[in-house]
Amino acid sequence: MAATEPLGRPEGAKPVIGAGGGRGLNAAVVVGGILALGSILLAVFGPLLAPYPPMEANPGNQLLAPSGEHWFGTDDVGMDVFSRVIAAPRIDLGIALSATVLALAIGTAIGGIAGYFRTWWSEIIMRLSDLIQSFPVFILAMVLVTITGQEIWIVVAVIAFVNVPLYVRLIRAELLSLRERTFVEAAIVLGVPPLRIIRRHLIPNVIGIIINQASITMGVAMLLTAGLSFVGAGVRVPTPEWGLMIATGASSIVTGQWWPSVFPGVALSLSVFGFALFGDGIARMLGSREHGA
Amino acid sequence: MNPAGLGRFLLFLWRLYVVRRLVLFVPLLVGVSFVVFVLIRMAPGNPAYLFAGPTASEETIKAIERDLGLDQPIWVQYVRYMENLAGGDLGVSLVTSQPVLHDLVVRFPATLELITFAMLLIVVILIPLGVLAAIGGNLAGRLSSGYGFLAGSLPDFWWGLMLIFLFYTWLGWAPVPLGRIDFGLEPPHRTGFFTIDSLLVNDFMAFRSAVGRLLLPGFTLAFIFGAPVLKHLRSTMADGLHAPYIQYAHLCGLPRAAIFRYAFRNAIIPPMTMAGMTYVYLVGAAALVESVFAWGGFGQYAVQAAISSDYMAVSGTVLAAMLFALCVYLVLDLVYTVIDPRVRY
Repeated sequence: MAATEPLGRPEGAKPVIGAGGGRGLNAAVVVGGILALGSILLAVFGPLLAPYPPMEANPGNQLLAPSGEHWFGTDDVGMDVFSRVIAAPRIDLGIALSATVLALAIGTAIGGIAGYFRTWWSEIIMRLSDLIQSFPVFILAMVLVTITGQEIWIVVAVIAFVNVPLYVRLIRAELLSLRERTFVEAAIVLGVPPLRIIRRHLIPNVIGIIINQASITMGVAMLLTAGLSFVGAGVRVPTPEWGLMIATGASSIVTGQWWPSVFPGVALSLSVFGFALFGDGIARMLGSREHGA
Repeated sequence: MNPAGLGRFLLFLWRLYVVRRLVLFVPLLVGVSFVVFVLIRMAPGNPAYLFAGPTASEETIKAIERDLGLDQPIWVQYVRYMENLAGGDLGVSLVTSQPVLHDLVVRFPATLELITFAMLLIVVILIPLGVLAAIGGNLAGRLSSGYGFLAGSLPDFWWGLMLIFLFYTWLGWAPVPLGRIDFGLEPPHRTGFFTIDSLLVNDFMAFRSAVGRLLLPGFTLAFIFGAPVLKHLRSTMADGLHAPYIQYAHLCGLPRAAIFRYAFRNAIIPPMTMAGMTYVYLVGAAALVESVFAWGGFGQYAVQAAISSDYMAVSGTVLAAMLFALCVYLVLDLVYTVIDPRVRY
């Protein structure tokens, strides 16, 4: 939907990087960047930093409250919550990042072609993405994951699949106006092949929008991964994954043991928040109007 | 009726926008049912195994496959499925052993009651806040944008758990987060909405119980999914209040209330589209919150169907969700004509 909004710069917007008055925006980029980078670093080093093995049950230590020994306490089978929280980004971010890159690559390619060539089949592509988008996303993802078997790469493929139409729509809408510009006409006159025009001249012009959308997709994909695991349609126990940890902690929250579900939720929220903030800040710095972030 | 009269009558019907839209539902639903059907049949695994149980012999499974028509080529199965669908038969759920249509009719009102309550909260609380934020200047703008980021980052199921911990476990204000009403208080079935049904028989205790149970899941959904609506309304309203026609109205000396009404009527349309999309989205998205609160509605049914590869129930839930979406968009388009006199069909 956001793609159909007018793209003209709002009055008084400051598109130039480093121009005065942009302090708030930079703060968004810095804070978001720190959080996002932190999660990425945890995805790489988290399992190495974990003080306890993140997948080792310890029956004597069930549901211990947070203490100096177990910073975030232990869960209902005695696994150390802190170790699991910092080991989880490898799964969550790994899934989200692969799904985002996949959706971005496929969606940008299809959207670029559908935006440049206006033929009957680009119309078909659009109607197909309408169809995919009109499905209830969560139910569709859940059904696709469970019927194809609960492997991690299938979760990735499904999350990418439900996000591709967003990129197709976004990129196509941008290219429809961009392709009327003089520099494209010039390229056509010079005899540059169409695919090269799309790749070298059109896509680089929408990179800010792509980055912003990718940061949103990162967040959505992480939430979707966690949601799927939460209902039992994603990764399986005892894999350290935030949604799964919240699910296993859910049963003990009514009896007062809040730590097994609170900490993974905070970590997940902070990570999603970081990516959203970062993408929004970058998009503003690059001067494109915010796209429904 | 003579043929000419019938023809004129049909033409009249066709001119009615609503009828035209309803007729268009048919090809859309056929398309969706085809996609769902193909997707599910692509799945490895054999539903007959699920139906027969783990101890069934090879012959039993063969017999069940014959019974369910699974031994036929896929297009034969599809034609049969469509024939049944035309007669309102969605097949039998492998898990509940009930007709899927029956299951859906029983469970849909539970979800509808919940998400309608959440939408009411969004309209009653967040829309005035959005308008206030539009008038409130820079700080209010930042606050609403911050809220948007926060709500967009919170997993709804986790937020529901946090509310349970705070209001049930810790403060003890909320009722047990299990189901839609206290045990034994279910009102006689009329609409399937417990709040309405209990009022219909003047059972205020049941009404109180049903509303109490709605509060936490309703607030969870409203808090998370209302944020984009609020953010959008703030920006359209802020733009609207600075539009030239509003400045002109100021110059003409119109009363502030009237000017405000003009701006609001114009500003409300995009956020309304968004609210409609949110309502549609909630049918599926509520599945997670329903699981947290053991709501027993459509969403939980969809989860159960998907996890147990209950293919008839899965097709049924997707079709029901699509039908609901189409109906909401139709109503939304009709509401535009009321708000915006320029819109005509």
